[in-house]
Amino acid sequence: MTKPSSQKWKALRVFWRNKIAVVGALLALAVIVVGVFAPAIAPRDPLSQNLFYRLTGPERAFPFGTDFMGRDVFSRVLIGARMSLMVGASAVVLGMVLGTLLGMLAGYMRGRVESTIMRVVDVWMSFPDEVLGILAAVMLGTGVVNLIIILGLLLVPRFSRLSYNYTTVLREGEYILAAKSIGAPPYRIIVQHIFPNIRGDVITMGALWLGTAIRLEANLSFLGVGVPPPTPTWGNMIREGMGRIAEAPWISLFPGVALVITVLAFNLLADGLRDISDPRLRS
Amino acid sequence: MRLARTLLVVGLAIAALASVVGLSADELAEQQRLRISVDALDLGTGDPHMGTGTHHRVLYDLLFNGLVRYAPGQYPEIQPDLAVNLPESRIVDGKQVWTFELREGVMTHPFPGYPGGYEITAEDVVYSFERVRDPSRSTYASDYVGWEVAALDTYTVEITIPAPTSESLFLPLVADYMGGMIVPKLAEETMGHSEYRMNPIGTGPFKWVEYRPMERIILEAHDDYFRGRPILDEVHLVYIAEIGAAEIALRRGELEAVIGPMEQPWVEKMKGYAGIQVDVYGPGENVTLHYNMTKPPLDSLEVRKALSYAMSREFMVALFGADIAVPTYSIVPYGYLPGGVSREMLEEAGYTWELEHNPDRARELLAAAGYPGGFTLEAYISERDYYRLPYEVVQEKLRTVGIELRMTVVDHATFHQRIREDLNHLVFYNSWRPSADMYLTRFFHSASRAVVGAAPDTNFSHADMIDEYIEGARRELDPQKQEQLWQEGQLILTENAAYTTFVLLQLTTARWDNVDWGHPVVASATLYPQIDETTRILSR
Amino acid sequence: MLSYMVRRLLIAIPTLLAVLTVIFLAIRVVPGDPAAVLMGEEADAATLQIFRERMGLDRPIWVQYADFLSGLVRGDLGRSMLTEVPVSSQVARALPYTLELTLAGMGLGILMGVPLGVFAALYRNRSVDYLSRTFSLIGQAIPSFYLALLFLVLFSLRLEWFPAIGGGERGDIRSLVSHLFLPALTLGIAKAAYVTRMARAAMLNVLTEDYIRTARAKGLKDRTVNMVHALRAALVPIISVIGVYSIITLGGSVMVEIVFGRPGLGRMMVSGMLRRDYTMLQSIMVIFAFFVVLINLGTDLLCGFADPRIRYD
Repeated sequence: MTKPSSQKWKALRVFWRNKIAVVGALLALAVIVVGVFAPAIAPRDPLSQNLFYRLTGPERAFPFGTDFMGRDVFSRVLIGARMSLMVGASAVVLGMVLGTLLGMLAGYMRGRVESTIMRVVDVWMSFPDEVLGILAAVMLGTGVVNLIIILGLLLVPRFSRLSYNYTTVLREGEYILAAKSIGAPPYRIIVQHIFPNIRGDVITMGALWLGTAIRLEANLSFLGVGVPPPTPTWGNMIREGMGRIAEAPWISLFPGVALVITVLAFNLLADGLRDISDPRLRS
Repeated sequence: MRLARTLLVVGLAIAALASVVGLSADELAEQQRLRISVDALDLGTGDPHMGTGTHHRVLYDLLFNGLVRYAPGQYPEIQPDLAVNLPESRIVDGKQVWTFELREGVMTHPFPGYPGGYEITAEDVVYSFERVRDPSRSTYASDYVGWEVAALDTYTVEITIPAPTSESLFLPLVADYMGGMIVPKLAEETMGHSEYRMNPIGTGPFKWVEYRPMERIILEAHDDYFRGRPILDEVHLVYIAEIGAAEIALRRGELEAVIGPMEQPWVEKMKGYAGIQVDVYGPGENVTLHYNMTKPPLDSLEVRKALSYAMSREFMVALFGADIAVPTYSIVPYGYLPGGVSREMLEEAGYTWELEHNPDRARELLAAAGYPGGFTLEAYISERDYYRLPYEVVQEKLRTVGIELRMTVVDHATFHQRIREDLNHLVFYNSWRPSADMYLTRFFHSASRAVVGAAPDTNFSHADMIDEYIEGARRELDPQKQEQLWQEGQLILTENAAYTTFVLLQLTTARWDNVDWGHPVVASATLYPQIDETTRILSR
Repeated sequence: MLSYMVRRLLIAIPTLLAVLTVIFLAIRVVPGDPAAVLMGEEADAATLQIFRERMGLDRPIWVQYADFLSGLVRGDLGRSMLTEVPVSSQVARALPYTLELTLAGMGLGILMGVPLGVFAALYRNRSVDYLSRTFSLIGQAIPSFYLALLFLVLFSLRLEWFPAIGGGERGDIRSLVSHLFLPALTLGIAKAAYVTRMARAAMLNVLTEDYIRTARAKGLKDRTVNMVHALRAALVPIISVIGVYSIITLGGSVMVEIVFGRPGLGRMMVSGMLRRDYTMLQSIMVIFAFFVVLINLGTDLLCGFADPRIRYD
C-alpha cells in the first residue's frame, strides 16, 4: 500500500506528462485570475457611458473598441469574466449535484423509481431550454441568483442522463452485486461504490457544460431574460453586439473569443483530470 | 445664325427626347410586389378594433378605411375617406351632432357568397361604431362611451356625442386609426365573428389573401378600390423578430422594405449600402419617465427635482442621434399636437430642473432632503431596446448622483402588467397618442392612477392635480383656450416634478431606392411609411 | 415486442400528465396574459377584464384544466387564444419545418461528428485529436443565434449561396432545401460537438477493451481491427447518444428558427410563451412530450438491433 502523498505525486506526474492538460490548467487559472482581479485590472469603468466615443473600433485607448453606449469593451470583457464564470460555474455545480443524485438513484434503484425519474428527465430535457428558461425567469424574476437556479435546473436532466447511463452499466458489476449481497444499504452503495466510479466523467462533462451554461445565458439574454443590465456578462455582450455585427463586430467578437477560450481551457483541464482517474488510460 | 437656330432646335429636340427618356426611367418594374418586414413574432388578430402594436396597425391600414383619414405620410393632416367631406357639427339639446355624407360606390373586398363584395352604406358605419363601443369586441370601447350613431338614409350618418368637444378631439376618433375603422357588417355576419377575425374583410386598397403563421401575411390589390386599383399587385407583411436577419434579407432583395430601429447609427449604416434609402419620419414616440409620487422617497418634491436635475435630455439625444431624437418638454410633444409645452415656456416659468442636467444641484437637493448618501430605487423594465437602453442611461445618470436603480428586466408582457400593478419607483413609457386629451387623461388624470384610480390605467406618477384642466379642455370648443388649458396643466405637472420627458423618437424604414411610396413620408400615425394605391416599384 | 412498445407508451402517460399539469399551472401563474398582449398598451383595466372573460380566463383554474384535459382526450388541442386558429392546424403547418431541420441538423451533425470522433480516438493525443476537440468545443460554446447570424453574413450576404429568411415554399423542393441548409448547418455544428465527443469516448473505451487487444495480438491488420470490431462495438453508445441528443435538437431549433425566420415548432413555443398564448403553448408541449416518448422508444429499439444482448423485458 502506497502512502497517499506518494499517490498524489504520481497523479501529478501523470497530469504533467499530458502537456495539453497543463496548458488547459494554466489557461483556466489565467481566466480565474482575470475574473477575480478584474476590477483591479480593468483600465476603465465598465459601466461608464461616453457617447462621444461610441462604436469606436479597437485602438490604443480602447483595445477591444467600445459599444453602443460608448463603454469600453475590454473592461467589460474582463468584468464579464467574473460574472460569467460565477454564474456558469455555480449553475454547473447546482445541476451536477442534483442531476447526478437523481441519475444515480434512478440507475441503481430500478423499477418504479427508475422509470419515473427517467421519464421526467427525458421530457424535461425535451422542452427547449429557452422556453423553460423564459417560463422560470418570468416566475422567479431575473436576478443573478435566480439565473443560476434557472441554468442549474436546465442542466439537471443532462447530468441525470449521464450518471444514469453509467450507473446502469456499473450496477451489473461484480463488486456492486457483492456489496449488495452482504446487505449494504443503497445509499452506501451509491456513495461508496457508484459515485467514485463516475465522478471523473461527471466532472469532465461538468467542465464541458460550463460552456453550455454560459451559452444558455447568452440565449436567455437574446430572449430578454438574462443577467439584467448594467452587469456585463459575455452572454449579454454577445447578444448586445449581434445586431451591430456588420458595423461593429468587435462588440460581440471579443466576448465570443473569451467564451471559447474559457470553455477550451476548462475542458482540456477536465480531460487531463479524467485521465488521472481512469486507470485504463494511464498506460 | 441659321446654324445656331438649327442647333437650338436640335438641342430642344434632344431635351424633349431626354425628358421622354427621363420619364421612361420612371417606368414600373415588372413585378409589383412589396415585401416589408415588421418586428414581431406573429400576428395577434386581424380584428381592426382589437389589435395594437405596429404590426397590427400596418395590417389594418392596408385593409380598412375610416370616415376620415390621415393623409398618407402626412400626419396629422385630416382628409375625407369614406365620407365625401369633413363633417360639420351643431349643438342639439346640449349634445353635439356631427353629420357625415358617405361616398357612393365604395365596394368591400370579396368574401364567401359575395365574389364582388358589396357596397358600403350608412348601415355599415352604424354597425362599426356599435362594434367599437362593445368592450368584448373592442380595445377602444372607453373612448366611445355615450355615442349614438344613426343612419339618416343610405349615404348619411349622424353621430351624436353627449359632451360637445372640439374638432381636434373628435376627428381622431372617426379617422382610420385605432377605433375608427369601418367594418363591413354583412361580411362579419356572414362569416361569423371568429372567422372574420382571422379573415378580415374591409374596403381598403389591399385585401387579405393568405396568412402563413409566424411567417407572413399576403395581401393582394383590391380591384374595386374606390380610389382606383392599386399599382402594387401584392403586399407581404413578413414577421422577422431579429433586425440583423431582416437587414440581410433586405440587402439580398428578399424584402423591399424593413421597418427599422429608432436609432441614427442604423440609419447611417443602411444609407451606406448602395441602392438602399432610409425614410425617417414622425410623429414617433415620446420617451417619458414617470416618478411615482406616492412611493418614498419620491414623495418628496426636493427628491423628485433632484432626479430631474440628474437626467440629461442631451445625453438621450446623443444616444439615439439628433435626426431621430427630437427633444420634448412636455408629454404632449410641442409642434406635433396642439397643447404641447415649449422650451421657452419652461424657461419663462423657471423650471430649471426639467431643463438642466446638473448633477451637483441634484446632490445638494438630495442632501438637503436628508439623503446625502443616496438611496436605492426599484423598477421592472422591458427587455425591448427602446426601453432597456434609455433605462440604462437613466441608471447611469442616477449612479453619478449616488442613487442605485435596481432593474428587473422582464419580457414585454410582464413589464406591462408589473407597471400597472404599481411596483415601480420609476416608469419609462414610450408612447404616441393622437391628442393631448388622450395623453393627459391616460397618464395624468386621477381616475387613471395605477391600481387606485376609478378606472386604473397608466397614471404611474399618481398625479391628481390637473383633473380640472383636462376636463375643462375636453369641454372647450375654442381651440386657443383649449390649448392654453392643456399647457397650463402640463406646467403644473412639471412644477411638481411629476415626470421628466426626454425626446420624441422618430421612426425609420429602410427600403430599396426603387420603392416609391407615392406620397411624401413626413409623419404617419400608423408608424410605417404607409402603402396606398399609388405606391409602386420602379424599374431599376 | 409489440406489447413492449405498448407498455412503454402506457408507462409514459402518468409522466406526461404530471408534466402537463405543471406547465398548465406555471404559465397561468406568471404575470401577463393574452388580453394584455393583444390590447395592452391601449386598453384600460376594465376592457382587459372583459376580454379575459371572453377567453374563459376568469373561470376557476381547475375548470380550465378539466376543459383542457377533456379536449385532449377527444383529440382537440384547442385554439390559439390570440388568433383563434386551431392549434392542430398550426402545428401541422409548423411541424414539417422543425422535423426537416432536426433531421438535417442531426444528419450533418453525425456526418461531421462521427468521423471526427473516431479519428480523434484513433490518433489520440495527436494533432488530429486536438483539432477535432477544439472544433467540437467551439460548437459547444458559441451561442447558436450568433453562429446563425455569422452564417447569414457569410453564406447568404457575401457569397449569395443561400436565401436569408423563411422556410421555403411547400411543394418546391429546391426552395425548401436552399432554405434548409444554413439553419441545418448551424444546428449541425452544435450537434456535432456532442457527437464528436461521444464518438471519441465510445471509441476510446472500445479500443482499450480486451477483445480488441486480443484481435491485435492475433495479428489482424490494425485497420481491419479498428474499423470492423471497434466501430461495431462503439455503435451502441453512439446511437443512444444520438437518440438522446436528437431530443435536445428538437428543442435546440428554437434560436435557429427565430434568426432564420423559419415558422417551426420551436419558434411557435417561444412565441406562445412570450405572448402568453396559453392554449398554444400547453398544446405544443403535449406534442413535444409525446415525441420524446417516441424517440426514446425508437432509440431503445435501434440499440436492440445493434446489440442483441439488450432484450425487451
